[in-house]
Amino acid sequence: MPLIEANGVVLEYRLDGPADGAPVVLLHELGGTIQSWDACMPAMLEAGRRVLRWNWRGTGMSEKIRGELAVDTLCADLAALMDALVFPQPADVAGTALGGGGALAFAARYPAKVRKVTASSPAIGGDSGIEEMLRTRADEVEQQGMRPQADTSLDRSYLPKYRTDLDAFIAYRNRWIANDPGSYASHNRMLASMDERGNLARIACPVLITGGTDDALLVPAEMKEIADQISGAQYKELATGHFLAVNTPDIWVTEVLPFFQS
Amino acid sequence: MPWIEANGLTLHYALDGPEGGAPLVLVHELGGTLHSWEPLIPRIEAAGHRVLRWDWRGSGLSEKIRGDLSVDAMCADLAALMDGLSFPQPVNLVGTALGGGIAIAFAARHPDRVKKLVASSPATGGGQASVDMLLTRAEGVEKDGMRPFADQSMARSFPEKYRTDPDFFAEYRNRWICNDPASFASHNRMLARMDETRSFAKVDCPTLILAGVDDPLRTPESVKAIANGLSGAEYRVLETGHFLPVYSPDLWAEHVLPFVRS
Repeated sequence: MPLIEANGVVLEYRLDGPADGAPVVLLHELGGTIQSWDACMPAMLEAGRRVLRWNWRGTGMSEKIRGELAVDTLCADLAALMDALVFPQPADVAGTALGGGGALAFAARYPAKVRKVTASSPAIGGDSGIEEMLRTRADEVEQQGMRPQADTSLDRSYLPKYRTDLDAFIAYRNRWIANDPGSYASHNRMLASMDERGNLARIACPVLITGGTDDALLVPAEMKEIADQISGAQYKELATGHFLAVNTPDIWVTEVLPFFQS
Repeated sequence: MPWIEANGLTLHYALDGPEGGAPLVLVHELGGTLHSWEPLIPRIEAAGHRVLRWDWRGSGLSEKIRGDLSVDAMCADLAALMDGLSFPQPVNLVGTALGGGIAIAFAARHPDRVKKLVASSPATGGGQASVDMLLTRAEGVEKDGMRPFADQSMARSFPEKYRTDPDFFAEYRNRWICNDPASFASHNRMLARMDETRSFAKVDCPTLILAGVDDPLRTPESVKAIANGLSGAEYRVLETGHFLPVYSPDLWAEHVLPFVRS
């Protein structure tokens, strides 16, 4: 996949679909990569969409992080990437989990770049009860690498009941383990110190928030609260886990994609 | 490209060319990835080879390294990868720079797995100036990341006169910057500690050693000394620098493919 320098870092990205298709930007989850959206892609291409995905700073081949990362920086990376690629704007923006939190943060900061936003199980920080887990995990991966944390993490985010395609799960787990521990620790700490609650009211575009019935990390009631704080936002609870687009791509396609198409 | 678990870790690899073709394994350079061989793949396929490349432990999209790495571990990774993929053996084994040194080390440890060996500008250890540079760079990237070291490293390994395609060079540089600094530091320290001179006597396959007239890191004289230590090795000096296959693919194809075919 190609690389480009944007916002002072090298970012790996992927463009699919016709150049004049209605634009969509996809944000992967914490520990995920561009490939996290693979199973949703055929439906988006069938819908004629122009799709931009990228690996966050620190993820996949993108330039690795030394030290702290701010949500502002992650959003500025995406803004710079869209501009550098002359990607049509405003675009529909979708994200899963921390990518969902990133999508909402982006919509609050760059209203002119966003037409609609959907976030599944968005992690927006702010006293969500997982801060200690995130900080502990950051310390541990820095010391021991990703591998010892894989099963503990995936048992929460990629529940055994959603491992119906075993090859897809094994590939996901391998990619997860191949993360740079230093950058992954920075992502965890970013989420642990993040608090986007105060920015939700600034989001002016149409918004769809979804919660997952089986999501023990960010439970549906909390996701509904996020939707309630955004003017006019829709909310749906879906039969899925923490990583909607990864765990149940079919449900993303039937329940979320139509929101962009309308 | 796929991942596989081998020797207890996740390795990212690529298989190309016809099944049943003469097996060829390519070992990339320090700071490179399996992508370093990309421009040569069509020619290698056309020559009828079944070709295996992989990202070293710590490189590209393979599992990252925490702590020390030994040459033995690198060689064991490749042996396990070949077995994990049921890759036909013995293979023609070809490496460049530190990848050339690894290829020699592998041939010494696993003579039954190697049919022919080619190493261009092989780094096999030794030389105090080189050790100091490697240890200083390891500390530097751990502290400040890859980016501040890109230009000084490229000045030695990718001389200006070989940057004939600016886009190609920019992409190589971007990919280099995207290395995990901690793993790259481990690779540098491995080379700083490495001394494969004693292994040379164990290499008993037909061997071709190539040097570059514009290689300040492994001068033709020092590479010739390696060739002299390998019983019956052929030695040639080419109009290239430290990374023969990266920026002199025509020369690589002209010298390497006929040697492994004969």
